[in-house]
Amino acid sequence: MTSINNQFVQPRRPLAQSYWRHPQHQQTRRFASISRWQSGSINSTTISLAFGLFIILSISFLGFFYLGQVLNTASQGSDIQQLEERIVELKEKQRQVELEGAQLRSIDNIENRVQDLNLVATGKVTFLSPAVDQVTALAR
Amino acid sequence: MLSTTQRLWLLNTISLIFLAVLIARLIDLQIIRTGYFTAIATSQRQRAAELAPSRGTIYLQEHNSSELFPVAVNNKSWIAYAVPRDMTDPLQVADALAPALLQFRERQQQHIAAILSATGQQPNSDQVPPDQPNYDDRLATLRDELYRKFNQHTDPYEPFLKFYEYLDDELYNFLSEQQLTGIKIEETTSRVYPEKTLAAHALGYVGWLEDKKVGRYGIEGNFESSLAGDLGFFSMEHDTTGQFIGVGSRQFEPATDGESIVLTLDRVIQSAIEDELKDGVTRYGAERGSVIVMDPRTGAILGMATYPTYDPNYYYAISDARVQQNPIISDIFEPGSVLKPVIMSAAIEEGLVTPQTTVNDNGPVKVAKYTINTFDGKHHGVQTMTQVLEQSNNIGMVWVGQQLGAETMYDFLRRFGLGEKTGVELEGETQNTLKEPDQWNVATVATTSFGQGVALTPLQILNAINVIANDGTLMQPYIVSRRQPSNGEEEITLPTQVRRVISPATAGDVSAMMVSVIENGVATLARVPGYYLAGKTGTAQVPDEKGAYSPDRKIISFVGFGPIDHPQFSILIKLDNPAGLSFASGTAAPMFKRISEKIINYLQIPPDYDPTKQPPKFEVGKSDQAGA
Repeated sequence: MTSINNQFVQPRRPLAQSYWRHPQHQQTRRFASISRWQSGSINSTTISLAFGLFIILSISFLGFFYLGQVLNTASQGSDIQQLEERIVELKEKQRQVELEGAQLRSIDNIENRVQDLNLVATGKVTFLSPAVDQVTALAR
Repeated sequence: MLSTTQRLWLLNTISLIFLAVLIARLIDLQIIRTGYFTAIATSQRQRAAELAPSRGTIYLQEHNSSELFPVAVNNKSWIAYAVPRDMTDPLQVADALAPALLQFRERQQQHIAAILSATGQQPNSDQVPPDQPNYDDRLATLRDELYRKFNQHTDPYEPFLKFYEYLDDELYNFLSEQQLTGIKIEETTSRVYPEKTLAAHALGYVGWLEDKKVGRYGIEGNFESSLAGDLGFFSMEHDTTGQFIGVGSRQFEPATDGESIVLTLDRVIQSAIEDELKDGVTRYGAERGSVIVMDPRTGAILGMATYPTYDPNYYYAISDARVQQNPIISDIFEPGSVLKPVIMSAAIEEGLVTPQTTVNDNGPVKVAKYTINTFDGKHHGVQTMTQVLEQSNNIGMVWVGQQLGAETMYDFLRRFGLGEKTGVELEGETQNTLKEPDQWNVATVATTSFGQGVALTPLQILNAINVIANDGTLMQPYIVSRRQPSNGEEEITLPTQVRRVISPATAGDVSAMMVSVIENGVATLARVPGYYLAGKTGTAQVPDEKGAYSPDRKIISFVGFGPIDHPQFSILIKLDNPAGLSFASGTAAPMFKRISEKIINYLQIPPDYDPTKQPPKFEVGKSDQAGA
């Protein structure tokens, strides 16, 4: 088959020029231009398209990544709030326990408990003065 | 019929008009009224609140222990109120609420009556209910009262509890279960005093001032701003479920909790003196009594009690507002004979007398238009200065005062810290004044020498006596041992020397003379076997409304410290108007003995001599010799 290029380079009659001007053949002419690039040389359009695609994919990836991070952080806000509520709850429990402890240790409560336990108040206290080389013990 | 071009032109025009309207509307919504809608959106998603700080805790200590005992803490409590505008049937709510509320009020009345009785207060006429109608009538009256309050359809708030009342368990459970329409229960913070009446006058309480809770009296009042802390602020965006958005805008200023305070009061000593004071006031029929215990070496207050007292948990359960005041720092009185050691110290320090100097007591003496006599009408002839103190001889003291003169006596009174505030960290301390010496006359000199005609607070008097116990140095009295800020370093109060007032030799002489008061004088009932304690009785007359001394009213007091070699405690006891013909020697002196015994056992102070054996005769040596 005779190559199109040959026919294009060496038109045999003027009428051949109108061939490519016809709208039906414009498409073919374009592909002819592209295939001229494909045959052993890099097509600039191809590079542009590839670069554009890369940019779009990168932006999309970064966008989804950012969105993911934001959603993750936002959800952590509720986790933080729950933890803070837990801290408040535990502090309140601790405060309650301390208050109960204070009430149990109060002088008034001890005096009441002492009566229930039938303890006896101390009387006179006697101070013992042992000699230096002796140990003093009180036998019950 | 329109041509195609004309139809297209018409369509274009209509479209442009529609577009213009749309754009105008967008401009209106997003530019002109942007502030309005932004505010609505912000209010929907922004939540802001003040953060309330926690009020600081107040602690007491015990001897030889690092443990702290909380005496003022915070607690969650519940209040309730009505929102009449939410009620569809106010009568039904009033019917349901009235029985429970009536029972609550009766429980409150019984509780108040019990507190008044336990704290030595007599209920006033408002607190003694008159003959009450029967239960059904009271219930009907309460129901009507509630219905009148609730039947206001636009009213957003109507209280049915008193402003200081909190729900008790019974009423809280009832309201929680019934879920009455228009009745709201709200959680709030209240101040709780786990030790109840212990150290009530030193602590004070948290009460209401207008619509704000504030500390009143004592430590709560004096340290209100530092105990209360500072408000914080919080503002954050939230989503439709109410959850906070972590990446949203936020403002956060944390609240600063109040600082905690550790007092110098010893819990055991405080409890002991309160028990003894209650017993003493009751036994001797006094109107009121006070006891202070201090460490004379440092000025620390170890115990401070007044009876009748009150329960800060129910600060409103009082029959007289005066019961909340701390008379130890706020009431001035003429001290009487407890001031004699101070006057004697001044005379010895000036070299005018020694413990052995003699004076002749042959009977009453006239000073200006006044006749001055001894408290018991007895006269013992030639008396040494030691015997003048032992017998609390007014005539001997008048002679000492005349040797001193107005200027010197006034000067020493001021040097002993009398006539000015002590500066103790309690709210309500009274500022008293001494008359300038150029306003004194001969009668003033005479009466001041035995403690009449000059008005002082109990704390001033004991702090002055502490000078004698502390080798002649005046210390700054204090009640706050440590302050613990929530976000800072702890501050410790160190003892502060104010000034030297008298020499150690003078202090030693007067100390020995005061021991002789207990060993050989009128205060033998204050003696604790095995220990040399210093003391002085006081029986002072009280002026009436007209300014003359009342024959029926008196103030009994006793001041002392020990043990004499190394004083570790000083005590002042004051009884107002004890019944009958009572003197300090028979009332306050035995109280001093009982309190001293408890403190000695608690502090484990070894005896000065064998208590099982007859003690040696105590004699005050010459001024260049130590003690007996």
